[in-house]
Amino acid sequence: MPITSSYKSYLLVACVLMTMVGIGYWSYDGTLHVTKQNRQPEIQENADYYLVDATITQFNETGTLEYELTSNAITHYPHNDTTLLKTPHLRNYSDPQKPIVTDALNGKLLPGDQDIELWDDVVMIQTDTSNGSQVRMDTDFITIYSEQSLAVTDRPVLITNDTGRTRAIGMEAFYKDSLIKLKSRVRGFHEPKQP
Amino acid sequence: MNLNSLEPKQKLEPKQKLEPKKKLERKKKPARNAKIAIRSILGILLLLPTLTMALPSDREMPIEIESDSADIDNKKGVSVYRGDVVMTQGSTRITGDVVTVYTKDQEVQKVVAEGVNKRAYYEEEQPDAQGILQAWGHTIDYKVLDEKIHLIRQAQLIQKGDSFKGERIDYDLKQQKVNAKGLENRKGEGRVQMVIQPRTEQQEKN
Repeated sequence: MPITSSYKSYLLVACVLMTMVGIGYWSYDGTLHVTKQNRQPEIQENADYYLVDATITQFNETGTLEYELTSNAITHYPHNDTTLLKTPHLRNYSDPQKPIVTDALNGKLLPGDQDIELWDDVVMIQTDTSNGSQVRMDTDFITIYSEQSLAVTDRPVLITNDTGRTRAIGMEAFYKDSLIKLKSRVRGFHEPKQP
Repeated sequence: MNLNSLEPKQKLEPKQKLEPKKKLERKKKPARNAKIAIRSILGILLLLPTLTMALPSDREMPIEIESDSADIDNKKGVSVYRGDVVMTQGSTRITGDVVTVYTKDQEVQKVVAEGVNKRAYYEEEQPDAQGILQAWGHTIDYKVLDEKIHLIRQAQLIQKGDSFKGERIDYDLKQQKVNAKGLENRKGEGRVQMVIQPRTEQQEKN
């Protein structure tokens, strides 16, 4: 039977396909396996306890009072061990001579109950009990690291003391050492002591 | 309108009628002037305290400071401002890369301005319309309470057109005294350079 031109072209296409299949088989990595993924356990985001008008008192390892925290409502979430706080009022005694009182509309106790995030109308006031002078910090978000006596924010902050006020964006306040590091756009206004 | 046509009319007006008017005006004028004078005196008296208060000493004015970042140490009373620092107090203006403000009992004692690539700068408007005092130095040590400025490294001071250049210039703001020092063991560029402008008689009297 004579080989027609159409038969020839079919043969050519078949050869090309066979070659491609061969190359594909050769390049196939036999170690690659797609296994069925285990289903992640469902995250329980339900609170395990809820307290109204609660007070948390935190002592450090040596047994000295670290802070007292009162809140209108405290909600604990076990899935990430965080505690949401409504209108938290925090009294920090890391330096008993210069206690700090902090108020905010909202807050969150981070896992371990050492560090606290506060947001919305945050006001921190440090009072020097020896002379009554005060330093006030206003911002809309702050993280307080109790162990390091450090308050950190990346948001705009206003610091007011007896003789002036300073505005900046971003702050690290080592409040036990009365040291404030302002990160950017610092604008200070100092009223001299009147004779 | 012809001007001549007015003249007869003016002439026709009886003098007697005019006299009482003039008298009345004369009587009113001193009273009005007195009232104005009293009012203006009262006004000046009322303004005097504000006028005198409008020109207080720079030291009594609030300090404003701008920078890129800052470290405020309330325990030591030291505030370090970094990055394009501009500090103003009334007519006094200080600029530098780093400006350190030393306070004691919440009162500014000393301001040190440092310039790394560009010199730090100080200016202050002098009293009695004597113009602006301008000063430069890589370090400017401004003793606020003593009212003295020390210009260190490539120091320069210009006051009333007089110019001083040296390695260190000490200036007493109160007494307006300049003390310039050159570099030791160096000739030419290390010496103090001074340019004093000639004074007119009137200026000397002032």
